[in-house]
Amino acid sequence: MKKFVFKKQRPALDPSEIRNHMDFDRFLKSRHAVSKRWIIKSKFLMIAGISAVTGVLLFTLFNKNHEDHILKSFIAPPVPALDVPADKIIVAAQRDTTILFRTGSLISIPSGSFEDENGKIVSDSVEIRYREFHDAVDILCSGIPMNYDSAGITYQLESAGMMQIEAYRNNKPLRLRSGHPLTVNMISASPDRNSYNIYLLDTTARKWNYVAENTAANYSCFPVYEDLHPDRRKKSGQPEYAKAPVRPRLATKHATSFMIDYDSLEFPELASLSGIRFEPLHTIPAYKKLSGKIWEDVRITRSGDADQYVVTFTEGKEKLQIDAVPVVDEKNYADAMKKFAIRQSAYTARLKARLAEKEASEDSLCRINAQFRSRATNSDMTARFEDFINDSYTAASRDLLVYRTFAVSRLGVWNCDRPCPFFSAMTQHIQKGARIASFYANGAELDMKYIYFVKRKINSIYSVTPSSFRRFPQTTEPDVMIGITYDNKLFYLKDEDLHNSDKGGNVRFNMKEVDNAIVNASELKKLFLI
Amino acid sequence: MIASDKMTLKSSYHRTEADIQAEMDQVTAAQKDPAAFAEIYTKYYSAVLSFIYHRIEDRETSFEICAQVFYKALDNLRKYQARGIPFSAWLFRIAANEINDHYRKHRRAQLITIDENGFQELCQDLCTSVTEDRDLFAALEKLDSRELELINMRFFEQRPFAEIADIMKMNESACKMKIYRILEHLSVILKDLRS
Repeated sequence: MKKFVFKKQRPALDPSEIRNHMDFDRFLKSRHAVSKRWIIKSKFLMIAGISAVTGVLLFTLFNKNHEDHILKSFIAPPVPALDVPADKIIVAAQRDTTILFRTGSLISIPSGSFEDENGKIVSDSVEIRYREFHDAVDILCSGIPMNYDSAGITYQLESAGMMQIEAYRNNKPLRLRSGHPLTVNMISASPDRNSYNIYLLDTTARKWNYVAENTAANYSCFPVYEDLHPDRRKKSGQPEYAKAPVRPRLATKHATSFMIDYDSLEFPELASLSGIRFEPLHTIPAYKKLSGKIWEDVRITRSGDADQYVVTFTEGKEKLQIDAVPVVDEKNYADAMKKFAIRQSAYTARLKARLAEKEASEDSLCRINAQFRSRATNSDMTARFEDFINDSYTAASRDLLVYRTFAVSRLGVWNCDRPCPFFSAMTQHIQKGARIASFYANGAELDMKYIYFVKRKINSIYSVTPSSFRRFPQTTEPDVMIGITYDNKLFYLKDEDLHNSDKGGNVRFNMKEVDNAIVNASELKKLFLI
Repeated sequence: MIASDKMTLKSSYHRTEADIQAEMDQVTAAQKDPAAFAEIYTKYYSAVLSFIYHRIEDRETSFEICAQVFYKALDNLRKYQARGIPFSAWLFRIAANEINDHYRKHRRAQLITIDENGFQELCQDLCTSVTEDRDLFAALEKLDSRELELINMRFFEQRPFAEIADIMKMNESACKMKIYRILEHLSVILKDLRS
C-alpha cells in the first residue's frame, strides 16, 4: 500500500465555513455533551477509566514530580553515584529570607515569591533545593551539557560558576511568581569581570538561553544589585534605563534606510525615538535586490561603538549583516528631541538613585559579611565556609573571589559563562578530520558510553559520544581524558600518558581504571588534579 | 522583531517575550475558568484547522479532528507548562497526534498537500529541474514519515525553523541540520531514480 498521497492545488476552505464552525459556545456545549456520552457509553469504558485513574495515581506516587522527571531525562548524571548533591533548606515563604550557603553564596528570597501549580501563593514553609557547580569535575558529575547553540553555531561554554535552585512543598515542585525574582549572589573563583554572561538552561527545548550580561563584584565588597530581569522593570511602572537614551540623529537626505520593529524592553535606549529608521553605515552591494526579498528572521544587536547596531537578516543559509545607526526623518525629529530630553532627565535621576541604592546595598551586605565573620569560630557554618575557600580555592586568594549575581526569574539551572575558544577549536577539528578511536584497559576493549576532555585552566568539559568516535579530536592539548563505560566504570588518561598516546591517525588508548575506593567528586578532583 | 517597509519578515511566529507572557496569562486564566479559553480558541482555530486540512482530504473530518484537538487541549490545559514555547506549538503537537491516530485507525495513505511555490522552492534547493512532478513525488515517498513531515512543514507550509523545531520537539539548529540532510538524501534518491 502507498504510504503517502500527494495532491497539488487543493481548494482552500471557505472562510464563512470556518466561521460557522468556529463557535466557542457551541464548542463548549458539545464538549460537555461529549464528556457525558463518554461516561454513560459503556461499563467497559468506565472500568477502563477507573484503571487509567489508578494508573495515573500509581504513576504519580512513584514519580513524585513531573519536573524532576523532565530534568532527569535531560540532565543525566553519567554516574549517578557521583552526582553533586543538593542542600535542602526550609524557609518561611511569607518572610524575607537570606540564606548563607556553605560556599559563601547568598540566596535572597523576598516574601511571597512562590506559587503552586494552580497559581496559589504559598504561605507556609518551602523547601529550597540548591546546589553549585564550580569546576570541570562538578560539571561532569552533574551531567549538565555545556554546549550553546547560537544562530546554528555550537559553542562550548566555559563556566565561572553554575547553580541549580528548585523549590518544593510536600515534595511537589513550586514555581516563582511572575515579577518576584530571587537574587543569588554566587561565589565564583573566576575573577574576570566582564567577559561572562548569564544563561538559563531550558530543559524542554534542551538548550541554554542567554539572559543577560553578567555583573561581578569583588568578594570582600559585595556586589551591586543589578536588576537583570525585565519583568521587574515592567511591574514597577517606572522604566529603569540600563543604557542612556540615544540622542536622535536626523536621517541623511536620499540615503538608503529601512525600518524594523524592535522590542523596546530589550532596547530601552531607542524608546525615545518615534518613526525610527536604520541607516546603513556602508554601501550594500545589490541592496535593491536584497531589499525586495522576504527574510525569515531579523535580529538586532548593539555594536561595540556607541549608538551603532548590527542588523542581521537571515533566510535559510543566506545571511545579510548591516552595520546601521538609528535615525529619524525631519517630520519626527522635533518630537523625538522632546521625548529624548524627558527620557534623558529621567535616566539621570534614575542613575543617581541607583548609585545611592548601590552604596546602601554595599553597606548592608558588607555588614552581613562582617557579622558572619565575627561569629564564633566553632560555628559549623563558618567552618564549612572557611573549608570551602581554603580547600577548593587554594590557587585563588580571597581577593580573587567574586560574586556572580543572578536575578532568578525562573527556578532551574543558571550558569555564568562564556564561549570557550579552546573547546570550540576541538569541535572544528572534529569536523575536519576523520579518525577512529578505540579504548582498552588491561588488554580488553572497553565499551565507552562517554568520553570527556578537561583542560585544567578551563571550567568546562568537552564530551564526545560513541557516534563521534570515528571523528575523534586530537588529544595533545587537553590535560585529562575521562571515559565512562556502559556499566558506569570510570577510566582516565592524563598529562603525558594522554599526550603520548596520540601519534596521529587512528588512535588506541590504553586507559587506567579509576580505583573503586573513589566514591565522590572531591576524590576525583584530587586524582585529576582539578 | 517584525521587519516592515522594504525588507519584510514573513513569519508571524517570531514573538517577543511580552507576547508569550500575555499568551501565558490567557492560558493561566483558562486553566482556572474554561470560558476564558475562548480567546485562545478564536486565535488559533483557523491555524489548527488549516494544519489539519493540509493533511486530511475530507473537510468534514478536518472539522471533527479540529474540534477534537481543542477538546483535548482544554481537558489537558492544567498540565500545560509554558517554558518559553508558544502555545500554538502545543496545539499543533496535539493536532499531529490526532492526525496520526486517524490514519492508524483508517489505514489509508497519508495526504500531503503540495503548495506550488513550496514545490518550486524545494526543486531549487535540490538544485534540480524536475520535469515531472511524479519524479519528486516518488523521491518524497521514499522518505520516512518524520522526514516527510519536516519537508512538508518547511516547504509546503512555509513554516520557520523555530516553529518546526517547537512542534517536532527539536532544537532549532538540529532541525535545520536534519532538513539539510534530508535534502541531501532526496538529491541522492532523485539521481538514483533517474539513472
